[in-house]
Amino acid sequence: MKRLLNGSLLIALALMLGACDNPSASYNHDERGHDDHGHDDHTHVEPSRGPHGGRLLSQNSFTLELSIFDTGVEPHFRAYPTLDGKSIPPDQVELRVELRRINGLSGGRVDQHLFSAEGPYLRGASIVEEPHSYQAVVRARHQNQNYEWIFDSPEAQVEIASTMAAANQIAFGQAGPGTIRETLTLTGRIEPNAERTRLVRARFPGTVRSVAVQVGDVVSAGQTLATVESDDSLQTYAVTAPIGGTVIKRSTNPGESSGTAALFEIIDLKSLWANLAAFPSDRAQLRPGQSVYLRAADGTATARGKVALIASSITGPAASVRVVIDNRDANWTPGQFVNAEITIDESPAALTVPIASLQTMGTAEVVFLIDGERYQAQPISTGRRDSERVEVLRGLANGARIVTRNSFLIKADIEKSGAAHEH
Amino acid sequence: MLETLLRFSLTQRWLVIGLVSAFAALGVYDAFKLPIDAVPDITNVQIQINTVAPGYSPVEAEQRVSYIVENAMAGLPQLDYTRSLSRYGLSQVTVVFEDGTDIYFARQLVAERIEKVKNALPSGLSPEMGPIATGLGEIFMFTVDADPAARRADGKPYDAYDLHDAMQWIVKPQLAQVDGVTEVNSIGGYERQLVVAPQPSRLLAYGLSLKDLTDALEANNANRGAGYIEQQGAQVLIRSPGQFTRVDEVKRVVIRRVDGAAVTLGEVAEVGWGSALRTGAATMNGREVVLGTVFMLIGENSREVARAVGDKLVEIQRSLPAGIEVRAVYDRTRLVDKTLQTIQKNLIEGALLVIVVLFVLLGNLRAALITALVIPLAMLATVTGMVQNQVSANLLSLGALDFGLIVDGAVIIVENGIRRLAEAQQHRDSPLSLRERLETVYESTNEVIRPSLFGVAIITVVYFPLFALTGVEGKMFEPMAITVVMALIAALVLSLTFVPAAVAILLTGKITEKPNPVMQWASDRYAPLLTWAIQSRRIVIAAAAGLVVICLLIATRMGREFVPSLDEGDVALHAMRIPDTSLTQAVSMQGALEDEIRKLPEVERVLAKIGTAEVATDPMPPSVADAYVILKDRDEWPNPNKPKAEFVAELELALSKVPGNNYEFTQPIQMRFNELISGVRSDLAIKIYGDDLDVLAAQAERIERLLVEIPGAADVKTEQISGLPIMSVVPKRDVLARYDLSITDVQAVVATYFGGANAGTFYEGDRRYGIVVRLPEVLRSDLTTVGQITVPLPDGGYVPLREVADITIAPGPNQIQREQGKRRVVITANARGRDLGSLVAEAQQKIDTDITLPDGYWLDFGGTFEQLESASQRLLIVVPATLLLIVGLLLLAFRSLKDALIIFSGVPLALTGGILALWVRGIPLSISAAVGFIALSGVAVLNGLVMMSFIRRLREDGKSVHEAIVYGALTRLRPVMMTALVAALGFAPMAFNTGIGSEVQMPLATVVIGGIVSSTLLTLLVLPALYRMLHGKEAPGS
Repeated sequence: MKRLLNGSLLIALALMLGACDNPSASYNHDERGHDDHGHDDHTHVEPSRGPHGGRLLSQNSFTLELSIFDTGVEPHFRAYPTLDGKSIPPDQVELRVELRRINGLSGGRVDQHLFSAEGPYLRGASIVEEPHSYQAVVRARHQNQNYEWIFDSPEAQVEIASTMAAANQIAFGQAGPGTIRETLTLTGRIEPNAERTRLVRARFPGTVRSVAVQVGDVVSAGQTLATVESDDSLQTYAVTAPIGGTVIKRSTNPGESSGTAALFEIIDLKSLWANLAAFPSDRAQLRPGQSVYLRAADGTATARGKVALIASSITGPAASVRVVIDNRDANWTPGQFVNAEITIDESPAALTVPIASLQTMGTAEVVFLIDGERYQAQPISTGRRDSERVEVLRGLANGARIVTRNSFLIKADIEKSGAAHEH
Repeated sequence: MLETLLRFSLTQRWLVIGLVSAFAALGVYDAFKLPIDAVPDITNVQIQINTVAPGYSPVEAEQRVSYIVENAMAGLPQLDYTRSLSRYGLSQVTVVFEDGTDIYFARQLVAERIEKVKNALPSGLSPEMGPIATGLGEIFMFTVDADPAARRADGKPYDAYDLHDAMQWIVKPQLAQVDGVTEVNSIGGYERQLVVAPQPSRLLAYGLSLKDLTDALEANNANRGAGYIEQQGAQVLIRSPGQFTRVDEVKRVVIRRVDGAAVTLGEVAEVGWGSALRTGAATMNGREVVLGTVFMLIGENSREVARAVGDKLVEIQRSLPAGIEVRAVYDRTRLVDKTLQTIQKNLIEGALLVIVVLFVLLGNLRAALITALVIPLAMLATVTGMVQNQVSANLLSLGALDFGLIVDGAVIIVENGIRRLAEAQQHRDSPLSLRERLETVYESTNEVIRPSLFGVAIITVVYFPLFALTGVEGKMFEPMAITVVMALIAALVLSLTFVPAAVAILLTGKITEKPNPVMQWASDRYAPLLTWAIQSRRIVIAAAAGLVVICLLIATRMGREFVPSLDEGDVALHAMRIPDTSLTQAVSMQGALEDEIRKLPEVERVLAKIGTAEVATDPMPPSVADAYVILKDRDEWPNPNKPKAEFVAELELALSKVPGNNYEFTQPIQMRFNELISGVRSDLAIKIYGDDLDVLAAQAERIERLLVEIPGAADVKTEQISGLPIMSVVPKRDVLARYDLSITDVQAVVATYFGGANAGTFYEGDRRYGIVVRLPEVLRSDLTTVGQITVPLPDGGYVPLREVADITIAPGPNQIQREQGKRRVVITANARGRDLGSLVAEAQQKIDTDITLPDGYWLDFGGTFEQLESASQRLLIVVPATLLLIVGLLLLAFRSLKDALIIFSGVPLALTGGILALWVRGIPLSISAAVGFIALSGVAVLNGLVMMSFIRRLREDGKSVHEAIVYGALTRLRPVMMTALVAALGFAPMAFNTGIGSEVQMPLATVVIGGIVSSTLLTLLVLPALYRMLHGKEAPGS
């Protein structure tokens, strides 16, 4: 009876408590909720780990712990051999590790890692390059016994069916040589070419007898502008245009005394200056001779030219960059506002990728290599860039097949299911 | 007192009937007021305070808004806690009050505090409280969409602006009028704005600043009233209208005269319709649409409101331009109706079964009807009680109602009444006189009233542990306990008053107890069995004890779940992407996802909300989408019998192939509850509080690494707080001085060019659109040009932005969460393959020894383990106390511990059947099943009680122990069988129905049926055996 009573008490308790045991059911809320895009390794089977944090490879009684050591040094392999659980001197073991990697070329790349004894372990001679994503073939020899292991260690790698990739507008391209054009944009105004401006005076002061031109008239060199009767000789002589151009100022009328002041101002509008403001932070990049593409702010004219002069200002911080414009088509007028794109540097680069293929993962810049339906994030170091391409300094092979459109999607897929970093 | 009440009921029987009828009428009236929904509302009493802060990054939103609003709420009466979320452009503070706080009172308090704090907030920001709704509030969703073939008046197809306009100015104002609707929240489409997009170089050419533009716009767009004049006796109002009426007028606004020429806005800027910066989008079947969600006011009847909204939409359709269509895409009525059907079917079928059993076993139609009448009467009284207590009718609250249990008391009284009336008539020929009849009824009732009262009291008492549940479990199961207890109490009162009165009135004339063939058959079989059981009592008792032990072992091996989840019919899923996903990218990814979902033949349509709607009831970043997969009716499925879980698994498999998304599968109502409750529901949650986000993140990472190492810790995760790329334009202070600029000057240029500056409103009838100055889209979307935008200098010159500011892009916080007035980050973990208690202890110990937090940082442990712990502690007291109370009640009834314990032995015996039934059907243990066990304990005790009291009476009458047992057991066979059969059959429809919602009731009903079968069999055999063993040596009549 007592036992029954106890039993019933127990079961009642067990039921009430047990029922609350698993909150994974219906109306549970998970704090991660919306923010769940972290490391979800449900498909990732953790290999067994040894005391040095490395992967344990066992065959018969021989066990090799293969770890990547990167504390304070460039990452390299360290292997700890044991027999029946006891350490054995590393110099009794011959070891070779082959890493087969995706590099965007057919066949991929194979890194050979040779080992030599160092203290209690075998040390790999070469650096294990990023990413630590590969298929490893480990061959060991101990006491005339050969051992071989093959394992996959993917990192920052995903598989996407080709139909799915096509449906998501993922497009491919190749890394290759290209030209990088670095530019700087400045703004400024169109001004008359000061070298092509003339003030016309009467050589012998006297009374102006006639004036032949009006403001706005286009004159050719030697054309008579006015006639003046010299006060000295009382001869009437012609004042002629020293250059061809447009009369922009006329400060005399018949009957007036010419004095020594300028009677006319003539500007040759076939050549103009664009004076661009270069602020201190931009100054160092500018050199005379750099090519310039000019666009009028009102969109009416464009022109190409070269940096003719960089003149420091004594009134303000901005230096003045002068570009001489050929205005024989009369597209430009002084006073216009211009945007100028100055080519700072234009030179070929051995290896470039389209800017659209570049993504940032963590702090690294990456591109995505393709191997069939597998995509591998490959960190690269970049150099110069322009609006279309970026120079690759390290981390990529020429001709590597990479994702060039919607690369964000690959990054999104990797980061949502990114496996742990192999150490 | 009982006697007085009985006497009164008999003498004033017509009055009693009258009162009962009146009460029933009240119940009918209340039935129309009863709020009905599919599931109980588990939302806490909370108020969301949303502050839209255009352009604010998470850090600014937190510092300038969330912090201030949150702190203003401190010290409110009945405040439970506050938490806040700061995201791009939004601050949301959630104020949670203690359960039971009146929501309107709470809103009043919060409104006062908001009013006080408004001045401390940056100008132009105004905090607003979210809709007065709970997790059940999102009852209806509809889309506003255009027929691709339809054309506007100007011959062009309708665009996303038109759809937004239609929603904003035609649909919303009308829907908001529907009774019970508290909010219509819209997401998707493009909000129309009049965008003035200056060409920066043209501004430079004319020496104009952005401020000149906004000033000019503001100075040229106003109406003014100017009083009135009197004119020949008439009053004439004067006004000077100057508002923009056409876009052309905006272009012609003169900004300033430059060199004698007037520079107009059209000269330096593009003026045209554009879109406000979007925070959210909506898609359906892979296409962008405008989606509206209707929120129901707290306490309204979802079915009625949803229906009214549906009707209104049909009306609204008529007022829309031809070609634009509104379409209901999610309607709660569908689910509620289906759930109601299930409940109704179960209750009606159960009631019918009960009536049939009563008739067959009693063999008297009138008696059966009296007993059956208790069902509707008790039900109506319960409805009244539910309305009074504001308990809504839903699957869970009505799910534990067993009419069998309700009529138990009445069955016993009626059964005894018939027996005694028949007995009394046997000795004479004429019918009984009224006095005699009343007297007989009185005596017969009095004879069994105590045991049946005790029985009902015990069944009521066993429900008490349910009241010990708190939090979400409490909210789910308390209504159930309240409903059942109310129904039982109603039945109790009825069997004291109505039943005797009705018996006295109706059971007139000649009452004969016909030998009932069913009963005869049963008792023929029972008699030899009983004799055998008494003789081989040791074997019987040992076998029973063995059975109990075996079942306990089975129970420990059974699967467990918390609450079986209610199938809502549709599927909801979160599609989660990495934090820096843009809205446009998210829309295209969602499109690919929806194309994939639609390939499944069971799917009718799929719709999704991406990012945040206009009212931020669910503030999601653009990287998260809430998708609703609406399924076809089952008969349209290729395989109508495919289990829902199998479909979800197929969906999951199909979606796992779509790149870039992570998923969480849930259901629409469930999803909304999760969003609102948003407490940590993982087993273990470690919250670190502190100031610096980087420090918090670093410490969280350390703890995460520590937790991963602990065996049994699974799903270890740190809340993602960063990862949003942020472009910082940091003004260079020393350089600014050189140009005579202030930080504000630089920031104003950046804010205006990229975020936009408001420059008034464009009115078009009732419609009003913001006028905004910002960079043309081509320039805005080009990161490389940021450094080139120019900052005007006070002296009229200009300087490029890159000269005066450093521009960098780096990942920054994507959201900042605060709780209890401090920034916090959460690390969560679940226990797998290890008991939670030891896991938590180890984690605590490891963190204590290994982690030292910097000064000003602290952590606390939370998670369900806390609730579990407190629930366990409470239950550890409540369950034994309840069991003791039962024994106490039995003791009170019998004044013998021995007898009390004999009856109590029915409880473990009943549990065996319950466990076996679950095991056979493969149903895991859950709270629902536990409720079944609770009900079962009550029935089991009632069975024993009926038999025991009779045996004792016989012994008091001087019969020997053996005689008393045999005669007592045989006589009480009928009531025992009846109470058991009605209770079991009352639940039968629930146990075997498969309609929507049945999964919640099934475990409960299965347990009760299985348990009653075993308990009845065992009561009939084990109880007599036990009694014989324990009382065997006593003299008769002692």
